[in-house]
Amino acid sequence: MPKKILIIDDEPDVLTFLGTLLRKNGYEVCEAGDGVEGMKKVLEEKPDLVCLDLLMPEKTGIKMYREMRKDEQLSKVPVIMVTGFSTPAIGYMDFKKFIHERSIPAPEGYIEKPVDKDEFLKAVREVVGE
Amino acid sequence: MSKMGRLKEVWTAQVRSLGFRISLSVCLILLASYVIFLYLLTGIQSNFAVTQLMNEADLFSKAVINATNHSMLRDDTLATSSIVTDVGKQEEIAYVRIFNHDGIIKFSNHVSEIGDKADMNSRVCAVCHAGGVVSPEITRTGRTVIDRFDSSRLLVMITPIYNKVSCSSAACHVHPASHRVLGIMEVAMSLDKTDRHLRDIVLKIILLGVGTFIAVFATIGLYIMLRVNRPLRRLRDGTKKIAQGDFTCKLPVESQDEIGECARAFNIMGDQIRRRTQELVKSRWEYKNLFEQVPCFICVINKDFEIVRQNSYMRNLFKGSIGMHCYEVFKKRSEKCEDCHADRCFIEKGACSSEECGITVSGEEANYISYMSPVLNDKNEVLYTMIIAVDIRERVKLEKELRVTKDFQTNLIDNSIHGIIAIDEKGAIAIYNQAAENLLGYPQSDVLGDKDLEKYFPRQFVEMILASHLGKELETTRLVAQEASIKSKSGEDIPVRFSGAILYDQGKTVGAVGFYQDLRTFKKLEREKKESDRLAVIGQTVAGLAHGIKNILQGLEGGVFVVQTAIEDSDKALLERGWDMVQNNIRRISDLVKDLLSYSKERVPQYEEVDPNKLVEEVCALFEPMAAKKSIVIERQLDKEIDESCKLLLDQRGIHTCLSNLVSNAIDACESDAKDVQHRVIVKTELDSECWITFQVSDNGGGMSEDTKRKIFSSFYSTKGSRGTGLGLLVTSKIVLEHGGELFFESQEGEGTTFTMRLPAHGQVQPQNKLTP
Repeated sequence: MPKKILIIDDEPDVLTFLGTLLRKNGYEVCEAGDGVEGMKKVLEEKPDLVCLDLLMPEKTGIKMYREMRKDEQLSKVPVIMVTGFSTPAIGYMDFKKFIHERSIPAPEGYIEKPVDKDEFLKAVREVVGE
Repeated sequence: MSKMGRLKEVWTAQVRSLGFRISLSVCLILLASYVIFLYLLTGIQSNFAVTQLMNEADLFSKAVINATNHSMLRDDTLATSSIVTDVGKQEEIAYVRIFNHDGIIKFSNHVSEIGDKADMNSRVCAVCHAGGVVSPEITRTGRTVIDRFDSSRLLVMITPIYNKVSCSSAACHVHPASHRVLGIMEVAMSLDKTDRHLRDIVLKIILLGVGTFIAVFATIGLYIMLRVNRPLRRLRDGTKKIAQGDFTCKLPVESQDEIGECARAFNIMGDQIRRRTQELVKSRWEYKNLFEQVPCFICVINKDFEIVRQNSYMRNLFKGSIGMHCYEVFKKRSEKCEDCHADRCFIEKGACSSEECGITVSGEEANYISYMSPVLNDKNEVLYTMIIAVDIRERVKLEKELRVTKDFQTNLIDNSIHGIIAIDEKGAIAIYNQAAENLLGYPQSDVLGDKDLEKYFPRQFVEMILASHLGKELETTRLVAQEASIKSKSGEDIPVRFSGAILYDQGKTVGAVGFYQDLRTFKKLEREKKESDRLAVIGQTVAGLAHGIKNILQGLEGGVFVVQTAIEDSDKALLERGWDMVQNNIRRISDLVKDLLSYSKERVPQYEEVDPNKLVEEVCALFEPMAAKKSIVIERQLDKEIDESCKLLLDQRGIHTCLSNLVSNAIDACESDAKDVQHRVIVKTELDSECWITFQVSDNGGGMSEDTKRKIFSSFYSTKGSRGTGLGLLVTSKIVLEHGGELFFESQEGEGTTFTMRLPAHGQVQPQNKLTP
């Protein structure tokens, strides 16, 4: 039974790329274009891992992450945050500060864009195994 | 006893009373006159009676001698004796004696004494035989003697009986011819009758005198008592009352005489005294009040420098008491001051003044100006010195404060880091501090008094100064923190922040002051800051750019990976998706480069005459095919009024870019909106009365969240994911600002967005925050 991974990103290109990469490596993949859709998919698909883009329209990755961690059912679902390096609007440092201030546990993994294929796969394997 | 005492008192009072005394005096004078009159009268009466009696006695004697002559010649002793006895029987005759030559009584009416020898020492014999010598002829008066017999007086007359031829030749031959005087006849006549008469007169006169005395005394006394004493007593009582301060007393005017006059005069006098006294009391009260309340301290000292009088001000301030020495009180000294002014006043008798510093009872310094003047008596001797002192503590305090304030201000001005230049009311420079000297380079000695204001002040301020001196109404009397440029002595233009104020005093221009903040360092820092800001912006831009490029790179890499995988798996669908990814990202790079170029170019708008409606038409036409594909309608609402009335100068290329960006954004917003409505983009133009042209682009797309609204003008922010560069609005806003216009938007989430550009249509760029000196 392959592990199911949910990828949430507002850019279709990223979804295509990461989806192709994970499927090629034997994972089952489902995709969502924003935080709202993402939350729906998490509940429906019950994935083993969520790859979450930090900056998205509608609902940002931060908000979604916080909701997940607050939710009893979803709080144990591991998350790998995916974000661009030193985003002008909100950086990862801000995110860390944000979750720290609200006593939210840190995500299980963290990957910077542009995503290095091997590094990404290594992070995914570390969290969910082969 | 007390009754006796009272009586005695009344008696004494009566005796002392004027009426009594006047009456007594008058009566005494009257009495004395009576006494003198009585004396004279009795004397005259007595003389007259004696002379008469003497005549009678003489006649009688001569008659007896003649009567007895015959009998004598005949030596008829009997006849002679009988004549003598008969004659002597008369009532008035005390005795009749005839002495012979030998002094023997030969005949007498008293027979018993015949033959007696005369006592030669008796007063009668002494008439002729005084001192044993026989006087020759003796007058009648000389022959008369008043003698006393028993209790009655006697007039005794001696008549010598001279020898005649007939006598010596008589037959009897008794008398020889050699005897000149044959004998003496002594007749004594009683004065009883005369004396009785005199006593009678005296008694009557005395009775008359006493009666007159009593009558006069009583009349005058009564009169005086009633008409003089009573009014006088009233006068006295009234005077006493006045003396005691009772001025209400009025005397009745009972008569028109001097007493009445006196009463009237008294009443007038009483009135006058009352008025004068009231005035005196009033003025005394006023003077006392003045003395006490006058706002300076007054004291009077005597020659021993002891205080004789002082007023309340002085009492309160120095707490000295009468009898203390002035130096003790004023200066709290134990001996006279070295420069004693009072001493001078006593000696020179002239007034003097001096400024002094005393010590108050609480030990504080009390400055005062004292004026001393001598108080002289009518012999021109100085009895006292009066010291009037004006308290100048407040003035001294204010002077001190003023000095401190002035020092403080001088220090403040001197040590101010800002240049301060002030002019006085004549328009000459009066203050020029060190900082101003450092700033302008002119030495202070050259500047003070200089009237060439343009050298030191900005032109605008000089004009204000001149206008205010000419009495013109100024719009503003101060310039606040304006940036200006001032030429220094060396010719350097020094940027300063200038504040200036025209100084007024009660509506009159009294000068002006200017403050200069040297902005050279500030300007340098400002330039440096701008530079560093620019660098920061570049850094930020580079970072954003890197992020954007990284994303595109990711897309490209992803596309390549997807294409590769598709080729490996011979998955045609995946290959198409991968190839789309590659194409998209190449387009993104192209867009990014285009936007970057237009944003980074620092270009001045190229104004040219433009028809805004035509511009809008062009842009709409450009986007219409793309919009049509997405079923979006582009609607134009153009202001048809825009014509030649206003010359519209705009940067055509810039505005084209702006409109393109806004329309493109609007189409994107409609495209991404999930609402099931006819999406439309409305482009509107409008020219307002101020000749500002408004371009408005509205859509009924998804609208913006509050979060998005906050970020839309951040560089590289995009809601379009891989499609946007995040620079479009930034470029638009930059162009609008370059035009001197404004860009704003309204957006309601879920309902749509409206962007509005307002531009000054004739292209006048209003420079902001810039002051030209």
